[in-house]
Amino acid sequence: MFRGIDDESKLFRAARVGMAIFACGLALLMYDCGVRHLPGGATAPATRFEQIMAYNAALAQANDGFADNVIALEASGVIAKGSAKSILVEQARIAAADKKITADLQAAANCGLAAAGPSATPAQVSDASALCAKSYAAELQNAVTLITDAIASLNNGLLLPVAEQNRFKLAALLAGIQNLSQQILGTLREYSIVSRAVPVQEVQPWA
Amino acid sequence: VGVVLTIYKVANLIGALILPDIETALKIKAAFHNLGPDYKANIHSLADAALAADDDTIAKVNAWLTANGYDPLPADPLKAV
Repeated sequence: MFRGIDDESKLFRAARVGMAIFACGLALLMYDCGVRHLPGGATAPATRFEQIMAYNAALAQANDGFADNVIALEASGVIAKGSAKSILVEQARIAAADKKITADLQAAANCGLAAAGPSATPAQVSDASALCAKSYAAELQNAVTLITDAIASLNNGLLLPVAEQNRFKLAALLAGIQNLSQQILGTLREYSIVSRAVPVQEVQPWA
Repeated sequence: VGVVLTIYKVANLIGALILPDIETALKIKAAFHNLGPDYKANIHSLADAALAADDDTIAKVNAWLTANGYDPLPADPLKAV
């Protein structure tokens, strides 16, 4: 992938700049998910339940994009077939865990809509949905933990056979996915849907 | 020749840096722009977007596994090893 580049130290600096730009872009997009776009171009704050679901959709899409990258890197010979298989199976596990989160959040949202009634404000529906989501607290916590564990196993072992420069880029994408999963967990905790006492496993994206 | 080589190097560098990341960024942007004025519509569209992406991930992993001679994922991919 880096054919024609003689000075790898320059490339490494450029790669870090590229990843920093991507991280800033991601941060801006995540800030943007905190608002709803109203007719006429105005914005209003999104409810916390909308934010959780936006983070969840973004996580699913980032994971999907990650799988695309792994498949493309394997096809171009950058990643060995065996390594690609291990990584992709973890991506499928992340997707399966995220489907459980989505199903629980959607059920809670529907419950909240029914409980709050047709004249409720979005904030009231959001609060009612959060109350309903407490019924799924254990499953939500478990699913987020599964995603965190899968990302940790990728960073701590499965990505290691990948050549360094590509591993940095994949790790940067993983850090974005990890960040989104922590945003979901943090918002669930703010809403007291899940306990604050459960420790979060730290991920070392540059391992 | 020097100019062509420089362009080639720059194109290689840009391709190496941007291709893997930009697609993910665009997909994330698409999800975040789904937040419109209607709460119920937002919830449904975000859930649909998440499910579509997750189903797509599982489908493409399964397709890759079978195309490369591996067993497909189990019915519950969480049980995959």
